[in-house]
Amino acid sequence: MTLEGLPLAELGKLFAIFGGAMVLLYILRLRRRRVQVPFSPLWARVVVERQASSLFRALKRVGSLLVQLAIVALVVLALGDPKVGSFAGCTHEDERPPPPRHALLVIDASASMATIEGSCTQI
Amino acid sequence: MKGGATASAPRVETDALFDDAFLKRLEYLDLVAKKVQSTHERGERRSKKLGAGLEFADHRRYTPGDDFKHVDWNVYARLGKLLLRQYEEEEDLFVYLLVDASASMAVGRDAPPSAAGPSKATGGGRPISPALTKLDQARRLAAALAYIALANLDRASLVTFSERLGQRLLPARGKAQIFRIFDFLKKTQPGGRTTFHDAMRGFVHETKRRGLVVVLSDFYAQDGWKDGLDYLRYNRFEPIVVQLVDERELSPNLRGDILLVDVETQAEKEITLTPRLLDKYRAAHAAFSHELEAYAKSHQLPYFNASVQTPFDEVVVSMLRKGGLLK
Repeated sequence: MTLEGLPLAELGKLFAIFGGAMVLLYILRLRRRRVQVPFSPLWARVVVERQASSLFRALKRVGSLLVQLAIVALVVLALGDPKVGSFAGCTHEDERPPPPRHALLVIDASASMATIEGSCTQI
Repeated sequence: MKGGATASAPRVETDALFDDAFLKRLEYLDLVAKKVQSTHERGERRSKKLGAGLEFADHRRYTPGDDFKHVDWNVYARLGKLLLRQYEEEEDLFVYLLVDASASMAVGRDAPPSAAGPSKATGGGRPISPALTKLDQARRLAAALAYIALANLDRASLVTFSERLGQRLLPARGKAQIFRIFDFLKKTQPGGRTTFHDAMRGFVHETKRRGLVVVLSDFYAQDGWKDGLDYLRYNRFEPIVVQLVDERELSPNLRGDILLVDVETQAEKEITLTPRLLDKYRAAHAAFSHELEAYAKSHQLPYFNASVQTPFDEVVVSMLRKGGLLK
């Protein structure tokens, strides 16, 4: 794979900036709004949390962050205009000579080509 | 309002809690209390002791040396027996007002107060500022009940409590004492946990004279409320349960992921608040209040539920009419 857009170093910087912003937003999102209540045991009676659901919620949060980072990575990679395998070189900016080709000439030798136009025949 | 007996009693500056409208309501409540009491009977507390009162209690046989003026001559004329009339002892009633001054009573100070309309108890009049917190409502109720007791020639005492017994205003008599009570209540600051049993135990040990104990609290005690109330009953006090409730706690304007922090213990709990969870919380709170009410009823203790959103005079009038406050 070759990068025909931004160089790898630039892509790395872009990913660091946007990826870092994603992680920062994720951390800030984790900070819940603090609310003072007069008697927490009453809330404890109604919020019965199983350990499994708590673990699932944590995994879901981390998974969503990873998906978001993957999307950022793909967008940044697209800015690098990557080219893979046979598609390499198919661009108007390519200065390499095209590969050799065979040319076939077909000459019409029918009677109509003997007609004179001007000072010579068409054939 | 000027004290009747002491014209020279200092005039106290009152803030929004005990403003002029509040004082006028006190006078009205005193009239209501007297009216309610007149339907139940007399001025002063009936005692089981026999003594120099005016109410006839019993007869006893005459023994040499007794005063002849107490001989029941009607009985002698009918039965030929010398019997003495005995009367009930009239004694002062001590009314102790225990005000919960823990941190949970002051939650909601920064939230907008739910508007309580003009008081229906006095037909409107100048509206008084709504209570901001349960502690504000407890202060007003304590002042009103103390005033009724003082007007009834009973002795009123105020005590604050949280994790232990707090400040104490010694029992006093006479309407003029109401200003000292205002001062005391205005200086009360909320804070600390609620350890109900320790506070009641401290109160019982420090109080010699038995009497009525009006407990003004939300009963959000970390160690529960049952042991504390039992301790009062076992030590021959007569508890009256007044549960303070703030409707805003039952309908918080919040949704989504929040971190609950207990204002007394600083314990934290992460929850995701949904309408369904809120309904469950309201049901849990209703069950909590019901448990307290059921306990009071099972032990023949007067129970009153006082909402912060209800004007204090309406609460007091309903307490007077429901009965249990006046003897």
